Amino acid sequence: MFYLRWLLVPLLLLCPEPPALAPVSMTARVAGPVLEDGTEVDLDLPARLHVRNRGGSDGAGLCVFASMRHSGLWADEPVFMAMFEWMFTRPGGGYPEKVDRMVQRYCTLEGKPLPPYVQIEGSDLEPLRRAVRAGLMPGVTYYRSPTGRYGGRRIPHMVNLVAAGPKWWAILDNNFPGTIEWMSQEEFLRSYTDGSGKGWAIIPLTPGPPPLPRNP
Amino acid sequence: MMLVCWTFYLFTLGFDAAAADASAAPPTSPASDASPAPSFGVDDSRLEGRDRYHLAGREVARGEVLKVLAGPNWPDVHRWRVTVIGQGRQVVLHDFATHTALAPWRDRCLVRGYEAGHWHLEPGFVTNGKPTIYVQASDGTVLHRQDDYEGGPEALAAALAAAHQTTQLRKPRPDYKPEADPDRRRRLFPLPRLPWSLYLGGAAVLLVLLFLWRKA
Repeated sequence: MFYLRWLLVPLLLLCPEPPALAPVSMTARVAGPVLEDGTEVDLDLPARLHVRNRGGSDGAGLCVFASMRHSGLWADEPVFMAMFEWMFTRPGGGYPEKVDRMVQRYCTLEGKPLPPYVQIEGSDLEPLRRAVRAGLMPGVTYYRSPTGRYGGRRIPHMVNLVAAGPKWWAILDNNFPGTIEWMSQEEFLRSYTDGSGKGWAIIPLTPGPPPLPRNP
Repeated sequence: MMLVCWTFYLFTLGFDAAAADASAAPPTSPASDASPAPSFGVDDSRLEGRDRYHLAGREVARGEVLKVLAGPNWPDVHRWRVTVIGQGRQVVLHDFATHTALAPWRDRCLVRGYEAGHWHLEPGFVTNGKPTIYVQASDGTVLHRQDDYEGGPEALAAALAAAHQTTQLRKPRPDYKPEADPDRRRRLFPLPRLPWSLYLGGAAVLLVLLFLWRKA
């Protein structure tokens, strides 16, 4: 693979321009739940609970429901936790109305109460910031990786927002369980909306774990 | 030709990136923007690209969502966390929801029950009782802890009230005595603000009196 790439160099020099790709950020990075400057994620879902995205019955991805599983695990909310596996035998792909429909159907079939949750669309970051501050883990759209994952290309995808601080925002990508992708707020906004205002977030309203105990 | 070259070059880059990532490759290998986007699971053709807010399946105003995210009466970030662990927790949860003694604390506290060993309790929570009850401030400070529920809801309400007394930001002090709390920056014998000539005249009179007293 290495030598093949060098064989291509003369041909690339003849090409007038590269294809349009998102610029790779100099600040965004892939790391763990703690950055080297000491910044920690706000919502630290243990890596052993991360799930990997997969396809539904038609092969279309279940990233929306994988993100809902992360949110459900975080909040210990049984319906969001169970939806991902329940969708394995159903067609993949997700959008707001489908999520409402699937949650309703699952609750009816399983005899469970509807969990409280909010869905927002657009490019408004304030609800996401407030949600993270309140200890709620949103699932958020993710169109481009600021660190160059997916070759820097556009990918309609859903991940989980796990930090929304003044300096760093961070996401947990269900295609890369075990890692956290850190970025600036501006980079998150670009990734969340793709510059077209097509951001979409699912925020369960069941609170997450209690804070770690500390002495007075 | 150009497109094919760049596509293959980017593919080799993506190959190396995936190999370097310790986690795992995404389900679809990266390619250029010219090929169809991989279906990770968001159907962005269904997103309208404008700000919309949905709560329990119905469209609502932005303000309503922000209010919900902040908590109904007490913002979740300021609510106390009452964590009830182990056997007998259902009784405590039921009392919290229904008993009149605990009614004043219902909005103020966010109450959750857990079986011992739940990941939400890692690390730090210790379960010795049947049940163990932790009351924490939003920063995790343990305000109260008990390892049984022998006193019932009345004793728990009293413990919450005692914790509240110690954490109130503005404490009423009807017995406050300002004279017992002087401004220690002031001098011990403060001089009144008079013209300097009066001080000079006074000093002269004192000197004359002292002279006359010595003479006598």
